[in-house]
Amino acid sequence: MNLFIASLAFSVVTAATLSLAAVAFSLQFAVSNIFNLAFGAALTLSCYAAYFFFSIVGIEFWLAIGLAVLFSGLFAAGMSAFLVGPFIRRGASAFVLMIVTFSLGTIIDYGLDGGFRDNSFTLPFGGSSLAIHAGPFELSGAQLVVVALAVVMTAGLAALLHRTRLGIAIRAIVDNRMLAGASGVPTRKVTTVAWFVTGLVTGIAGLALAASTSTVNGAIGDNYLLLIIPAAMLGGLGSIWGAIAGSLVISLADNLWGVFVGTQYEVLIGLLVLMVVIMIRPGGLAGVISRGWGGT
Amino acid sequence: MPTSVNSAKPVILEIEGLVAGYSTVPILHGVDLDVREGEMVAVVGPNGAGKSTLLKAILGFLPVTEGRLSVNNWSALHRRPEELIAHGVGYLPQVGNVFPSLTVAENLRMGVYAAPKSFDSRCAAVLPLFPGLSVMLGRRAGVLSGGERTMLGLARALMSAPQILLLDEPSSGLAPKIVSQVWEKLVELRLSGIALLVVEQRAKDILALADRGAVLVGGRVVKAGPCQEWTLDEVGHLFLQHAS
Amino acid sequence: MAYYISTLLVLFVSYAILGLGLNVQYGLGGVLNFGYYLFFAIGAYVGGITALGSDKGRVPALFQEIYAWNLPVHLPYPLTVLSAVVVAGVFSVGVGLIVLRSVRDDFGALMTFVVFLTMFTLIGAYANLFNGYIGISGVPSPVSNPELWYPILALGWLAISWLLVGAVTRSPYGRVLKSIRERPDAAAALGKNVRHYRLSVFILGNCMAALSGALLIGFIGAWSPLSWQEAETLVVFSIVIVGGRGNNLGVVLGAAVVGVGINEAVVFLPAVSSDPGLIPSVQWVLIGIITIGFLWVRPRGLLPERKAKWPWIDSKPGEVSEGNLLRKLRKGEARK
Ligand SMILES: Nc1ncnc2c1ncn2[C@@H]1O[C@H](COP(=O)(O)OP(=O)(O)OP(=O)(O)O)[C@@H](O)[C@H]1O
Ligand SMILES: [Mg+2]
Repeated sequence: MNLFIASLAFSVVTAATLSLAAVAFSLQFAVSNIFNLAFGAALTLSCYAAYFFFSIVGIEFWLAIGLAVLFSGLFAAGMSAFLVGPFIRRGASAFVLMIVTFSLGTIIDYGLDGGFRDNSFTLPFGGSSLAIHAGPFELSGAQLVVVALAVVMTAGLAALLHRTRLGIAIRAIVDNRMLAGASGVPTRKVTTVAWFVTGLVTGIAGLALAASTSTVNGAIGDNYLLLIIPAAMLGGLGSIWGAIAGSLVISLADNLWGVFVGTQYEVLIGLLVLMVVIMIRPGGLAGVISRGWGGT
Repeated sequence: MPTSVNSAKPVILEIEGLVAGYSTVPILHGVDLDVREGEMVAVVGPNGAGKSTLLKAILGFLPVTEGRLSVNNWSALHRRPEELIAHGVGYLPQVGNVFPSLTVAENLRMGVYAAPKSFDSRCAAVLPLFPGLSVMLGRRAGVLSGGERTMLGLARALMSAPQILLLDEPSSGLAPKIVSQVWEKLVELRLSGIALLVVEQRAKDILALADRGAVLVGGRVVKAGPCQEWTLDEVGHLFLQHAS
Repeated sequence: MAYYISTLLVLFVSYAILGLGLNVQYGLGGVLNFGYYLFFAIGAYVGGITALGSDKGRVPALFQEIYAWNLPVHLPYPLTVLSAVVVAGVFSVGVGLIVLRSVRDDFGALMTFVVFLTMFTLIGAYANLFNGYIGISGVPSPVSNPELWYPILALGWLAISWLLVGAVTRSPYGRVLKSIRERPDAAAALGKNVRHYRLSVFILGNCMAALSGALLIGFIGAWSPLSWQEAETLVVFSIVIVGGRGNNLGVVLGAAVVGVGINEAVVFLPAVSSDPGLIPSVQWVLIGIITIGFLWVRPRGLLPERKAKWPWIDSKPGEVSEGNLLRKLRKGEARK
């Protein structure tokens, strides 16, 4: 039982990072109605950006981290404005956009692979001094910071989406892009800004991921997709709270499996959850699809 | 084009030889139409005639391959929808006329996106026209009834203080009693000086209300002019004649 | 030099069959499968293991002990390929039944991506399945003097695949598939069971991928997760898109241009001795750019598919108004 409670607490920690990523993935889907298969690569990219600014350019660490997050936001905005947006306006199908983002992901992954000599590196987040031990679990200071950060980010995002004109416009676009345009919302601009915001969140998620693993390598983001996609789908695409709930469930399942079954076949959890979602409730717990107006 | 009763009034919306459609398939084959200040113009036609397409093309949602389009002498071709809204055009689509997950107040706010500071003053002007809405400002639009949605859509379109409203079948899917409320609202809007371009299935009702009418069949205007005298028979005949 | 040409030929055939199979799924049936390369990998593993049997003599001594599988017999040649196809087919049924249930087609596609990532990790991590990250090696060639005969054998398989795919495309079944691709709603309304049709192309395409995999391992003799990373699927998509989605000849051309051409073109880039990984990276980046570029500039590929001849699938999906259908129906009557 003690172990159960410990894994519950630990799940909150792992869910913090996961929920940031799942929220970003989910919002991108909601705003542009596409699955961004370059999402894993974008996570990796933010880690490499931090590494670049810190180790190669030699900027002070936390400043480099901030720049990396900013870069991640700009990258997502650019991706929306110059790649996804033009394809959507041409009437490209959902399939074509998946292939386009998949290609972009490959370009990023191998661009980083070829562009950086080092196959793996460490980002010195430090903070291990503040470690908490509970059973087999250890929480470092950095991880606790991540939890706090996730809470702040989520609250900020919710405030943005519900309290500001821009945020309401983002939700309006999620609801009905055409009507938003016909109401006078500059949909392209708002979409780009929305992607910028998701990019910032992606960057923070990527760096949080780097903080929780000792070394970063080129596969860090893509491997994480195995948890992100099921978490976002379980929660229901387009819903912040759904993505958070989905992340909690996935993290808990992951940790319980690790404790009671062993790490054998742990990788199957995401797929199993996804299968259950698709079989039982294809719209997820909440979100765009289950509300019935997602449409293609 | 026959001279209308309002011919002295300035033209707000002018369409000449408009050719437009979906990707490569043209649906409109050269449409001429104009709307003058404070005038109600009705567009009727059979299903699939291109009525919705016409409004979407005006707003810039569809590629226009030929023709001219101007709003208050400002060329409105190849513009973004929000630019048309900024130039005094309002639009109520045929389907999906509200943002279902936004509250009523948020829906209205989207109508005045470009001028957030005037939200309060615009609300003060628009809401009295729709007394029903003022009591449900906090409700999600997704739970409103069909009639309430149409009213909210109209109110949202009015929030941008348009000179002309493009309405796509505002009566569709509504009970007869609600439909007559919609008609009343249109008359009220027209009296308040807003020009209306109304696409409708209910030809009889709308032709009786409008100043001028246009019959659109197969992407072409086959009859246009003052419409009070038109009989349903002759209009219906046009629908079938050109349909094949 | 002769060996180099044989290698290119076998590579070409392998990519061509892969492309044809993906074209059956994506080009003909409108099913998007980001896990496609998984079935190629399964084909290679099964084809390799059945050919090896208990014949560990060919396995490098270092790895002999950790080889988990131990088939009592090894199968004679065409049976190795056949078993690869059957295993992949059976696995496809399971995956397809779940994936094709999704409410939206792109959910299904996303799920195939997750299936791939999961299986990749699983197969790599668990040695009991296919020897984990070490993979299999020492697979014997089915022919003596493979340098000469294997390309010919491979071309034979390509001919069989070509005929099969051509027959499927031209058959009434193929026409139904195209109509489903263009207008699933309309096809369903005409009483076609869309999900069954899609499942069938999913299986057929994956079986062809397995065939291609079994074919390749017979020549290269070794297979491990390094050979089938997630980006490999992109090459096959690139082949279909560059060649011409829906056009079999185009796909074969795509296999030559993208599969073989780009792979070989980068060989001529000046090597950077300090960074040996650079050239493969350039190659992947190039393929990604080409794919996006073609989708933008020439989305129908080098050899576009011929336009469909059925008016009811000609129109683009989107709003259909009832009056429109009626008009079209009436039009038909008038002509009679
Ligand atoms: N997204 C689309 N893609 C291709 N064709 C379309 C699309 N939307 C509509 N059409 C076609 O364009 C033609 C005109 O459609 P439109 O919606 O303008 O008709 P309408 O006159 O408004 O009819 P209704 O009275 O039924 O609303 C129809 O033949 C329709 O099938
Ligand atoms: Mg219409």
